[in-house]
Amino acid sequence: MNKNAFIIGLILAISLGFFLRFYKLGQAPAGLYLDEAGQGYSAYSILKTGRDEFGMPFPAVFRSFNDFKTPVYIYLLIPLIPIFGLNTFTIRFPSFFFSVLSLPLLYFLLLKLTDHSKKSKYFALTATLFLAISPWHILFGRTNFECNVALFLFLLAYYLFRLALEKPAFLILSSILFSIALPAYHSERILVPLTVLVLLIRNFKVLVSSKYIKYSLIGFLLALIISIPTIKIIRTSGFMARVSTLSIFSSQNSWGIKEWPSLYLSYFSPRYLFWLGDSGPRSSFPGLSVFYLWQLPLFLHGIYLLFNKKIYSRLRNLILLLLLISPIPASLTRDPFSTIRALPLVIPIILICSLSAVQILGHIRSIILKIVTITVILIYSLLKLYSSGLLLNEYYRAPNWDYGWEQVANVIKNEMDPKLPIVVDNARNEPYIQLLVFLKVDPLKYQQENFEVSNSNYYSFMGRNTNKKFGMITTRGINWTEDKMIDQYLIGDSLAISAQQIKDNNLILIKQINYPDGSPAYRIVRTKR
Amino acid sequence: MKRISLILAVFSVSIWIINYFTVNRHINLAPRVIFESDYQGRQLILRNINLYPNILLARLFQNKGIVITNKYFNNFFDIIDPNYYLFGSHPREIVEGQNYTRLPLLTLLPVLWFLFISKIRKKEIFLSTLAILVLTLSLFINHYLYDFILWPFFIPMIYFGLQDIYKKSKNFGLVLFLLLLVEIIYELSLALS
Repeated sequence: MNKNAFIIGLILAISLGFFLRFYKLGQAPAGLYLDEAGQGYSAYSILKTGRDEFGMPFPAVFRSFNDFKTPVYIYLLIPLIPIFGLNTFTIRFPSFFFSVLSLPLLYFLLLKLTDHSKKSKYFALTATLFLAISPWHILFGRTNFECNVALFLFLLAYYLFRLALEKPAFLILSSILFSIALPAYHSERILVPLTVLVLLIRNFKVLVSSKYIKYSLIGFLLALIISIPTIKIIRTSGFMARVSTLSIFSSQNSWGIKEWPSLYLSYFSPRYLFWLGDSGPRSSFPGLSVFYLWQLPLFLHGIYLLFNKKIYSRLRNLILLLLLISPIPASLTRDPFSTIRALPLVIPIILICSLSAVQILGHIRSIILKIVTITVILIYSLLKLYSSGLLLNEYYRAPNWDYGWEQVANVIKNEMDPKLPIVVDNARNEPYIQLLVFLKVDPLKYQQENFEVSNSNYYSFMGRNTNKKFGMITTRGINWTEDKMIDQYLIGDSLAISAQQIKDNNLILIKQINYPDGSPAYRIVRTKR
Repeated sequence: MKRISLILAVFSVSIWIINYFTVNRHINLAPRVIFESDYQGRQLILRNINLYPNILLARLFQNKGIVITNKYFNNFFDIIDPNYYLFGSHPREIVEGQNYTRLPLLTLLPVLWFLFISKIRKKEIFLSTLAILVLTLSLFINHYLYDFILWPFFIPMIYFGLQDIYKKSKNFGLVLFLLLLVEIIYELSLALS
C-alpha cells in the first residue's frame, strides 16, 4: 500500500463514520429526551437573554431538573442555534461533529505514538475504521450526550501533549484543552486529573527542564484561570449533585467498597462488552452490545499480543493507561456498566482489537481473501447496525426517548384555539421542557413567569418547582373534578387521559399521538365547548 | 505417600458429591438444553420480522436459529465472565441462576496471568480442553449447576499463574501481601455491610 492508498483509506473510514453518524441525525432516535431538551433550551435562553432559563447569567454548571449539567456542550450549542434553529438536529449536532472529528484525531495520534511505518499506518487505519463503525461511539455520536465532546477534547489534549514533547509550545495548547475537557463531562473530572498526574510523573524531568519550564508554567497558569469558575463552585451542592445521587460511596447508597470491585471488573468482562452492553434503554441499541460479536476473538488475542509481543512502548502505555483509568469514574456510580460514563474505554479496547486484526490480516497472504474478509465483516456490521440502531431501536425505544412531544407542539401551534388554556399533565414526566423547545417559547417571558431560585442560591438550593406556566400552557397534575368544568385543553399520556376517562367525562378527543408500535403516547382533549 | 494421597482424593471427592447433592436437593438437576421449545422467543422473532424493509434482511437477523444461538451466547458469556466466578455474576445476576461466589478475589491476578502471560509447556492443550468444556457447557441453560467440571482447571491456572509471577517478579512477597490485603479488605467490607 503506498502513501496515497493510506490517505484514501483514511478518507473512506472517516466518510463511513460521517455517514453512520449523520444519516437521520435528529430523526433517529425519534423523540427528544428531557435532558437533551434541557440543554437545548438553556443554550437558547443564553443566546436570547444572556441568562439561562432560571435567570442565571453564564453559569459554570447548568441547573436542570434535580441535576446540574456540564457547561461545555451547552456553550457549544449557542452559536449553532442561529444557523440551524432550535431543534433536535441542532441539539445533537455537537456530539455528531466531535465524534466524527475523533476519527482523524485517533489516526494521527496513533501515528504519533508509533512511527510512520507501513505497519503502523495499517494499525492506525484499522483502529480508525473500528472506531468509525463502533456501536458505542456511534450511539453517543448521534445523541445529545456530553461524553463524546469530552472524549474528543481529552484525546486532542493528549495528542498535543505528545507533540509538546517535541515542540514545547504545544504544552500551552495541551494545558488549555485539558482544562476545557475537565468540566466537559462528569467522568472527565476524574479521568483528566489522573491522566495529567500520570503524564506529569512520567515526564517530570522534561517538563521542569530549562527548555520546558516556561511553557509548563504558562500552561499551568492558563489551565488554572480556565478552571476558576469550576473551582469556585466545587464545594456547592449543585456541583456535587451527580456525586451525591450516583456515587456508590454516597450516604444515599449503602454499597461502598464491596460494590466497587465487581462494578470495575465488569468493564473488562466480555459478557458486558460483547453481549449484554448497557442496560439503559437510551444508552444501548436492542440486540447489539457496545462491540460486535466478531470482535471478541480479536479482543482476547489482542490482550495476549499486548503483553507478549513487541509493540511501541508509548502505544502500550496509552492503552494500559486508558484501559485502567477509563472505567474508574463509571465504576464509582451505582449503574452497572454505564457506557456513557465509561466512553473513553472504547479507545483502548479498539486499539487492542486492532492489534489483533492487523496481526491476523498480516498472515493472510492473498489480497483478494483480505478484501473479501474485510468486506464481508463490514457489510455484516453495517447491516447489524441498521437492524438494531434504526429498525429495532425506533420501534421499541421511542417511549424512552420521550417521543411525541414535537407532534404535540405541532398540534398546539396549528390545530388548537390559542385563546383557551392548556393543562399538560406532568405526573410521570417533565413535558414543559420539550414544549419550551418545540414551541420556541421566549426565554425572557419564561424567566419572568417561572421564578425558581435566586442567583445567589443557584448552585446551592436543590428545591424545585415542578409546575410551570408559559403563555396559556400550565404543566401540573390534572385535577379532574375542577379541570373538566372549565373550557380548556388537557394533554397527557394514556394513563393520565384514558379512553374510559374521555367517555366518562364527555371529553372531545382532538388528537391522539401514537408511538411507532401503534400504542398511544399522548392524548389531547377538550373539556367542553 | 501415594496411598495417603489416594485416600485424601477419594475423601475429598466423596465430600464434594455429598455436598453437591445436599445443597442442591431442592433444585431440579436435570439438564435443560438450549434446543428446548421457546414459544415466546419465536413470537418475538415473528413480530420483529415485520419491522424490516425486505424479507432477506429480516431473515438474516430474525430467524428461528437466532432463538437458539442467543441462548447459547447468553450461556457462553455467563461462563467466561470473571464476575461469574468472583462476584456471583454481580452486578447483573443470571436470572434463575444460583449466583454464588465461586472464587476469592485474589485468584483473579494469577488466573489472568496464566491465561495471557505465562508460557508453560502444553498450555495450548490445556486451554483447548478448557475451551471445549466451556463451549459444551454453554449448551445448557442451567449450566451453573454443572460448572464444577471447570473447577479442576482453575487449580493449575492459579498454581502456575502464581509460580510464573514468582519467577518473574522481584518482589513476590510484596505481590502476595497486596493480594492478601485486597482480599482481606474486600471480605471485611462484605462482612461488615
